[in-house]
Amino acid sequence: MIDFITQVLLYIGGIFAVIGAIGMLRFPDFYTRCHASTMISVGGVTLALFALVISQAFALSVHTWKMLLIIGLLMLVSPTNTHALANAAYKVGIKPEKLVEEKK
Amino acid sequence: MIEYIFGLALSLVGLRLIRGPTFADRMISADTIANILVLFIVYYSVMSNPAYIDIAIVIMLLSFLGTIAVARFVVK
Repeated sequence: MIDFITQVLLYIGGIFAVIGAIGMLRFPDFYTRCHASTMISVGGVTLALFALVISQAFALSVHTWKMLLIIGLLMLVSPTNTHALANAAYKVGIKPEKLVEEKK
Repeated sequence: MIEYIFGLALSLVGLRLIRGPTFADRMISADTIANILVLFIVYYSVMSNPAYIDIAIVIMLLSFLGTIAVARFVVK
């Protein structure tokens, strides 16, 4: 049962990662690629790490808590990186590909 | 099998790292590659030796530091 749940979560995470990587290649500009990158990091990698935590859940050792620490740090670090890079790109002057302008 | 799926994702992101037009595309690709690498190291440490899991924490924090440093350095 534990093996089955682990395999299912790992494959769902892999599907998320592949879809995010295809979006990383095909999206037109930087600000939409931020979305695909977040999908790989939070959707794919965090789900697969959570599957690995479940596979080790009954051997409650230090390493399980370290894996939970990795999940917490990754969900804290990845949006911070994306926010800082988008802020820097906006200040440097990278324009979106299809700019929606307000009509006056 | 699962490492081939994540390897496919990693190679596609690596293609974006090679041909990304601006610096921000390359930095966000490097950040994503570091995250997938963290998953690979944790998977390997679960399969073989659990002592390798500290390397994943160190790689993730160094990637965070590098990305924040580039984002701060470019603006000035």
